[in-house]
Amino acid sequence: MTDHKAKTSKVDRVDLDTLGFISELGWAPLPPWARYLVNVGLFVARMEADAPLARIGIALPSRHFASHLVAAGVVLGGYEREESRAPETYFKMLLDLPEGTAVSLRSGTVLKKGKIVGSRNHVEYGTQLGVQVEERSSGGQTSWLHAGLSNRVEVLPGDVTLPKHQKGLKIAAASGLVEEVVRPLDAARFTENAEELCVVVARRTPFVDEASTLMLAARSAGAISAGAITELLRIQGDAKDGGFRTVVTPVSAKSPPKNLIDLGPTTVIFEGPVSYLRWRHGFEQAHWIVLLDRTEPRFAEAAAQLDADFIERRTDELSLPPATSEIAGLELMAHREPRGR
Amino acid sequence: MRSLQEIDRLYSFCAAVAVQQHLITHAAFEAFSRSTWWLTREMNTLPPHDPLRPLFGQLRRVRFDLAAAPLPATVALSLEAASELESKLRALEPAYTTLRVGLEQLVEDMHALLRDPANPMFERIADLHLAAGGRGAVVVAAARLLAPTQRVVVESLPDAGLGAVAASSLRGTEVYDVLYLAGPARWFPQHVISAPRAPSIVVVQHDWIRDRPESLPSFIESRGPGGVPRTAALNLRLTTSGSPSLNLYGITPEELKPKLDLTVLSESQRLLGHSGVDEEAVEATVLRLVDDIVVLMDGSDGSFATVLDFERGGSPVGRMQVRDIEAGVFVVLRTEGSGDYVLDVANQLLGERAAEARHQQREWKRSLRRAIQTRGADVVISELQRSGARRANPQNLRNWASERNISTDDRADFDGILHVTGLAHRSEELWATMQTIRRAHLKAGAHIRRQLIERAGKVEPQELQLAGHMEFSLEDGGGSLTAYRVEEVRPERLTAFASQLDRPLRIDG
Repeated sequence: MTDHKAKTSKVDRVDLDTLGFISELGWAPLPPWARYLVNVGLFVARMEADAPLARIGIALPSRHFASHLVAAGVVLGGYEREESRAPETYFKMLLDLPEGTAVSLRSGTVLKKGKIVGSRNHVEYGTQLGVQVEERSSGGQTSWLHAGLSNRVEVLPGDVTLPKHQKGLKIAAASGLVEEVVRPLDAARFTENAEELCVVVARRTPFVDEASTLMLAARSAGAISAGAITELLRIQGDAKDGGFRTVVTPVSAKSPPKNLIDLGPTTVIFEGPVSYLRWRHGFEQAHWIVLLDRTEPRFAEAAAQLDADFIERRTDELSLPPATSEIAGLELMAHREPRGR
Repeated sequence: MRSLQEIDRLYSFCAAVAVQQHLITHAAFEAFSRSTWWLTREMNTLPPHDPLRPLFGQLRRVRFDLAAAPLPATVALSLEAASELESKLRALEPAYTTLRVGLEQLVEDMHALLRDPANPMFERIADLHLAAGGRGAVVVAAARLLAPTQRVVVESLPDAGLGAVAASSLRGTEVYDVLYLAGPARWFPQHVISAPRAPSIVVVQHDWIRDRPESLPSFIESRGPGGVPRTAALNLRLTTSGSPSLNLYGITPEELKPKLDLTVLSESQRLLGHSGVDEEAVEATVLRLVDDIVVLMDGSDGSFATVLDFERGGSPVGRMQVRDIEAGVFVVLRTEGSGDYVLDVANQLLGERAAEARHQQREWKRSLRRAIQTRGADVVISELQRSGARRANPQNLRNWASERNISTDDRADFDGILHVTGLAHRSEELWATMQTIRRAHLKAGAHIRRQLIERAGKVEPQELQLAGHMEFSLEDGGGSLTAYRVEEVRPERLTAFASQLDRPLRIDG
């Protein structure tokens, strides 16, 4: 999917100032460390598609919530990119794809799987892209979309088999929290499948459980919209309706799932020393954000490996976003390395 | 359920942690440490299996325990144990003319220490805590010192809000007002100071140990979020009370810490004994477990260990190749009975037939090992292949000859072995017996696994992670199993006999 990415033309950015949580005293802004972690995720997701690979290590006093906050940043940054791409450029990229390419097609509040079947010239709308959503034997229902509708189409990894009849998946309405946080972007498409997935290598069950307990709240114009961070993350296998934006792959697996590698994720978050030590070679062509809890048993080993990577592979420095004040407890190392090694 | 505020508190401790170092004086302990230190240096000139070494291992451990926990001397070394140690030292003394004076001095200092009722480390902690108040905990570097420390704390200060915890427990979200580290900071994992669970940390150490609490940077190019280079994980506000001892000043924490000396380990393994001259030797992987316990495991290809892995779906009980074991994994070992618990239960299931069946199993395996010893593995493999054992290769041959393996999977391979070892005429009998043993092992394995799954299912992963080890009792006299966290996979390999494998062992060093 990353190969098909169009460069951003204009950038509408999410505003973290509205994001906070409900404390005993009411709405409160995110603590500086939490906000910074979201910012790191945003920063990496906002990097140009062909930018050298980011290698970021962060040492923390506790692993709790850290990967969720960074992942929220990655998801929001990825959504910014999706929303800000120029329709004409994206449409041209879709037209250049071979016939049979698997895609998803949003139609009203329903998401269908489909295949590209080429293009045609319409007297009124000009060039149109054809997306077939049902099998040929039952009529081969096809939608024809002009450039202005191209954002309804997302390229899917692998192949797709079309059914004879397809009702499609109902797309969930964005929650109040999502609407407030992604503003000024259009929140409607947020609940669809993401073009850019955020991959987290973590202990899956604790990650998913914690995602439902970390309550955030966005404040705007006196109103507060609260919800769990899981609404922003939209975790595969956990998000009830619509698509997903985060894939959590268990650290205990013997190797990364092949379909996940095929997706070519742009950014991978390694939660904890073991996930990084065991799986770092599985995602060489993605940006890395490695979160290391200082209290975990293999912390020193993982930090030493990050150091070794820094010495052997860095090409230049990577300046991370500045914090408004020094944040005790967070320690960082960051560098870049070229793609395609 | 954790909240953002709860985690925020951990970050706030990082911003404001104050570390006080208190140097305490204890003349009797210093004298004992000095004589132990002097003789330890002399030990370096003695051969690896010298009989004085294990005795010194014990004394070094006593010294460590007293420096690493607020305990009275008689708790670290009972009067009976001291008396036994003295007799052994005195018995050996005549053989060591150059060490005689030092040994005499050591025995004298040991008795002086045991006669001294003072416990200055605890007295200092008690004074500080009674003055400061709040919720505090004495932190011990070695988990085995936790129980005696808890007893001392509870008996001496029952309602003072003071408890005791092992350093490995300071990983969660439980927090304190003050933590009292027993012993020099370097004995504790870095996170005790660099990811503090209290805003105030007090280090209480003897004044003859050279150490200074510090918070080392996590990376070689550590930076803060503002991009400023960091020379420490945290900026500590450090104050020191007391002066270093002029007599013995200079002993480093590393010198005092019990070491995993593989020479001593080899000696301990030798003392454990083995079943007989024909017992096979294997290249063993050495695992250092939590709390300085060591275990040898069969390091050959295809050797598996039972592990607890809470990352996998379903039951956490699983099997892992020994060569894949890494630090952080929990290995399950028998802590009551022999190392091989499946074998014991299988023998129980075999009942009266067990002795004869095992005899027959040993019989053909010994014949095979003798053939390998006399004719060489390459020749035996050729002979086996000519006799129909198609799977004969170096690795399989090692497995077939091993006592830890029941028999070949394939009948043709088995018949090939019996042909080569001159036992072909007993093929039917021996093959039937091996199948009986195999069935008993499968049944035993399933029986133990079922119990282990049931018990492990009730374990809170976080609790196990914090404790570092946990014991599970099996029914029907099956003894007990303990899951230990692997702290380190040693790079060295040791040659060990099969009966010495899988047995947790504490090394005094």
